[in-house]
Amino acid sequence: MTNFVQHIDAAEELCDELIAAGFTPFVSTRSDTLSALHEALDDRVGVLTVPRDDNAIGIAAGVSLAGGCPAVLLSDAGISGCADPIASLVAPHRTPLLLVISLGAPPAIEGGPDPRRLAELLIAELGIQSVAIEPTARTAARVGLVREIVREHLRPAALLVPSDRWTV
Amino acid sequence: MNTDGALRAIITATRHQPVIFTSGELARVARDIADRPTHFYLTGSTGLASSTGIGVALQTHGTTVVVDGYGSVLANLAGLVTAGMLTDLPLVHIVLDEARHAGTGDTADLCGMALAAGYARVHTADTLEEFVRLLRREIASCTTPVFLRCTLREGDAPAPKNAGLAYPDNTIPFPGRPGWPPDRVTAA
Repeated sequence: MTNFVQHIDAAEELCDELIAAGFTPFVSTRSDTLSALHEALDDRVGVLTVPRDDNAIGIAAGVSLAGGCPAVLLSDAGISGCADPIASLVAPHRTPLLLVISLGAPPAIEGGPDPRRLAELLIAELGIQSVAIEPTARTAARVGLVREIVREHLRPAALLVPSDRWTV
Repeated sequence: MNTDGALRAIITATRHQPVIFTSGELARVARDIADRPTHFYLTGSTGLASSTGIGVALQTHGTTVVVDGYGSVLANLAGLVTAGMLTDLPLVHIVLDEARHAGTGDTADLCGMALAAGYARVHTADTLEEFVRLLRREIASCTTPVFLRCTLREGDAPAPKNAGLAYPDNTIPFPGRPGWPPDRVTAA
């Protein structure tokens, strides 16, 4: 019970901080690893739920081009299918948007590539600045950093969140 | 009707609306006709012109035009589903359907798919005159996703080669961004 409550609290806390930082709208597919955050955001401000992760990136890029400050919820397993839109719609235009990436999915096949490692490599290779939420770090401070990158420096950023922070 | 004629009609009809062009030949021809601050040309992300246009329309609440090709719509049918569920989205989704002209055989029923996905209205235009009439009407009154398929039956001159589009130049001052409204609109 304690873990359950802690996980819900972590998702609620991150939800509150993202909203307070001015990110909107939130775009996402349905993902088990992000369900707690997805539900928390959906309850408060709504989430535009789309069928594919690359569509979420495209929509967020459009919102940003028109002056908005969107955030996309992605899992590390899902981001590998977004290499093209991140490489062609986000990174080269320096499109200001936030990628909230849940890390910690197991490899699709035993002994296969680690999705977490692939996600981190992809983000780094494309020059997207990333900030990790560590167990000892204050969520508000980490969200403040990505807010600064996206809203003040008008650059894309990734917020890397271990999925065990909210996966029950 | 060919690609050049259809694109000229779109550019003439969209002096003040954001227009998102799919990547490849369509984008290069459009940019060669008239490069406006209200244009955004995808340089990859095949199929995501519709998604990008959805985002622009969500943010601006203003009529937004997407120019797609037959193949790029098929590459992202999920884009139709998303647009179709946003019933108050002012999106004019144009498909320049060159499939029959390109000799790729029978074509998928894109209008049927768009209608099934939830687009409020779908049209097919077989002539330039019909296309211009539908385009003007929909752009003037758009409050919901509409789908306009334009069948291309004539060939074009070779498309311009990739002119080395500089990414920062491709960042547009759409409504809501500093620099809007644009002070430079080139004639089509």
